Formats: sequence, structure tokens, C-alpha cells
Amino acid sequence: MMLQLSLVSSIDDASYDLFVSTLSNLCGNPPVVFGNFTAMLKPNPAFDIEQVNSKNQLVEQSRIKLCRGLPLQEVEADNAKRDFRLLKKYQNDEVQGLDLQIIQDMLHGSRDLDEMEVDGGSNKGGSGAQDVWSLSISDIPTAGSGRKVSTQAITETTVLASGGSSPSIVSFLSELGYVLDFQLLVLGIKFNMNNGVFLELSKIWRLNDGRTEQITKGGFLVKAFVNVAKSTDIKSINSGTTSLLALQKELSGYVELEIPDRKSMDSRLENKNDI
Amino acid sequence: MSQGPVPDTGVGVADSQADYDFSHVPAQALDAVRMRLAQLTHSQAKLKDEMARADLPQWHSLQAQVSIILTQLQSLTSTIHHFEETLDSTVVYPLANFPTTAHEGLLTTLLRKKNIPEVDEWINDAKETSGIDINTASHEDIKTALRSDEELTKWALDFLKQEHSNYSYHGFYTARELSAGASPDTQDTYQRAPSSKKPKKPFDANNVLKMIHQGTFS
Repeated sequence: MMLQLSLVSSIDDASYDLFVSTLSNLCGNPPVVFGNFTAMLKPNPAFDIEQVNSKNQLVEQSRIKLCRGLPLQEVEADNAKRDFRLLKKYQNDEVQGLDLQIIQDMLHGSRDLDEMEVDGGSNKGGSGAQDVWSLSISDIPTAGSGRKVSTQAITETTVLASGGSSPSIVSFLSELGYVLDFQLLVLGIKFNMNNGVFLELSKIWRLNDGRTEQITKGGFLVKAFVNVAKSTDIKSINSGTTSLLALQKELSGYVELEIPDRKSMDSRLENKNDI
Repeated sequence: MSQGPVPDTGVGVADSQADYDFSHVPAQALDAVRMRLAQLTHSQAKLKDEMARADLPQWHSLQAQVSIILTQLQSLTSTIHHFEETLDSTVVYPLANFPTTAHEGLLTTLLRKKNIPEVDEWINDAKETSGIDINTASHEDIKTALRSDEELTKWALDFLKQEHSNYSYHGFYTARELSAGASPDTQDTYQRAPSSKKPKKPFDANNVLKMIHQGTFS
């Protein structure tokens, strides 16, 4: 279980260029472009899961996040042109240049027999690393009024191969009792700041029946975070918090990084008899 | 004519003071002058200290101090001028109970009217550097000398102004380039980023986070 310390904000599209050059100067490196496909899964509602909420036993249903890198060469074939400017053309619902079929192939395994994964070999256009799914469950960020940053515990693992009869990760997870809830596409840039602080600017789309709908219209989600591998490593947590607060101070007056509302980062299923 | 300030502070006997009428002492005028003098001597002492140090302070700090001293001098002269009449008509004398023998030095210093030798030296020095022999020069000569001095100052000021106008102190171009026809309003002129460049918040980050984690907007 690792801890993620974070602060968030948002900026408008018009401020993107200036913000990127400000951050590049601040950290000394240009940003890295990344693309993610995220599928959130929830416990299959067909199962009758007992909702226990007694004094010393509590069963809460939580979503599972399934995440995998997008093949960015589909979005921009020229490696040299794949820099932060790439994101400027994504201001509306459409994700230009990205064939949504790729995502279906990723989720369900290619339907084209020639491109089926065989013996863990790479499929169409994907590099080895992109074939790996990361599976994570996140807790609601810790409560408390005196907090300076958001602290969220995340349990994460990777799925290399489903090993079952189907190459589909969806069918693999359905065997574990989880079904698809909703799907997201993320394109963004990431700055590697000093002291283990990362800062991401991202455009996020929601996938609905083969259509994409941008949920960050007009701007970018800004998220600064530090990952601490062990939740018991108080020293790292403190130094991470200090680094994040230093960045917050550095950017104050320009972009105000704030603690997100912990309820908005809760990926548990809305239980009717919430505690 | 009023009674002078009595130089018996701390020296005279408290009881005997009751016999004298201090109401005519121009305390207000003297206090005002004393205050300004105290400020001035303090500033001057500080400047002198700093000049005596091995590493000189920054020129701008010296300049600031000098300008403070000039202001204080001006304030002193205007105060003295304001109380000129009172101070002129004040005569200072010791009270009868002043221990003259015991504090003769103090008394003679306080009652001295002539300049002290040091001050005389300064005055003579100034006269000598002006290059005019006071004893032989006529009144007209002195006036002419003063006028030429003023003219020199005026010339120096004009020269400075003219030199200043020869250079361009703002923008990216030298005065020569500007006169050769470079437009001062080309695009590479530095522009201060207006405060409107500050990013706006197009959406609430919490809503997006809710969408990421729960698939719904709040």
C-alpha cells in the first residue's frame, strides 16, 4: 500500500503555454507527454453482496481502477513533434487521431486473429510496457481539519497476463466479480519537479457508447503529487509534504494549488445506508 | 528681555530654584532648536563613524544619509529663523547660586560668544578655498565671484540635462538607433505581463476528481 500526497487546481486553455514554460523553467526540464486509458470497474450488481455495517464489521464496496498507457504514436506519429504542444489541439469532445477501436481491442483482446496476443507477445503497435495493465484500489483520503495536503492510500498491482481462456482483461476481472462501470481517456503532460514531486496537467474524456465527452472543457486539471511507497514511512511523508507545500508557495499568486475535497476522491460505491 | 536658561541643571540646589521666575524662559524655542540639533549631531556622528570604517558602505546608503542630514540642516535653519526674534533678544546669565568656582569650565563654555578656534579655522579655510582675499577684495568683486560660481553651476546642470537627453534609458534601442529610424513600437519591445495573464479556473477541480473516481458529477 502506498500513499499519494496531492494538491490540485485547474487552469484555462489560454494559460497553457505560459504555465508550461513557467514550470519548465522551475523544474529545469521539459514536460513528458503521457496518455492513459482508465476503466473503472465495480462489483457485479448481479451478485447479492451483503451490506454489513455492524460495530466491528464493515463491508464497503469499492471500485477498481484498471489503467494502461495509450499508444501515443497513434495520436502523433512523429516522435519529434510529440511534445506539450500536442495537447493544444484537444479543446473539445473529440479526441482527434485516436481510433477508439484500439481501446476496445485493449479491453477485450484483439478480434483480429493475426494480432492476438500469443505467448505474451506484443500486439498491434504496443510496446512491452504498454501491454501491462495496472490495477489499483484507492481509499478515501484521510480526514482531519489540520491537513495541509490530501493523503490517499492506494493499493496497486500489475496484471501481465490473464492466463485464462480469453485474452480479455474484462473477462478476467468478471471472473473475479467485477464489471465495467465507466471509462476515461487521459492525455496530459507531466513535470518531474525536484524532491520527488510530480506535476500533471491533464485533459480527461469520458467514454460513452463509442463517443468521447471531455470533462475538462476549457482547461486542464492540475495535480501536484508525491508518492510515498510505504504508509508507515513518516520521514518520507513529512519530506514529501514539505516539498509539496514548497511548490504550493512557489506558485501561489499564479496558480493556487489546493487540497481537494476528500469526498470527491472517494471511489467507493454510493451505499444507500451510508455511514 | 527675559531670563536666560539657567545652566544649573543638576548643579543648583532644588530649594533655591523656587525663588526664581522661570516663566519667561523661551522654553519652546530652545526645545525646538535643541531637538533639531540633537537629530543633526546624531546623524553626523553616524556618518562620520561609517566613513571611518575600513569597508565603505554602499554609495546609495551614504547618499541617503547625506540627504537626511541636509534635510535636518534645513529644518534647523528654518526653526532658528522662526524663533529668531526670541532667541536674539534672550540674554543668558548664571543664577547667583551657581557654583562658579567649581564649574568654571562649564560656565565659560556655555557663556562663550566667540566662535571656538576650531570653527574659526573652518571659516578661514572656506574663505581661502574661495580664492578671494576678503581684506583686499571690494564688495563688487565678491559679488562677481559669487555670480560666476552660480553660472558655473547652471552650466553644469545644463550640460548634464543635455547629455541625459542624448541617451535612451528605456526600451531596447539606443538613442542613435531611434534617431536612425528604428520604431520604438516594434513587437520585441518588452511588455510587462498584464495581470490578466493569470490563469482562470475553467472548472472546479473537485468536480473532475469526482468524475474520475465515481463517474458522476456532483
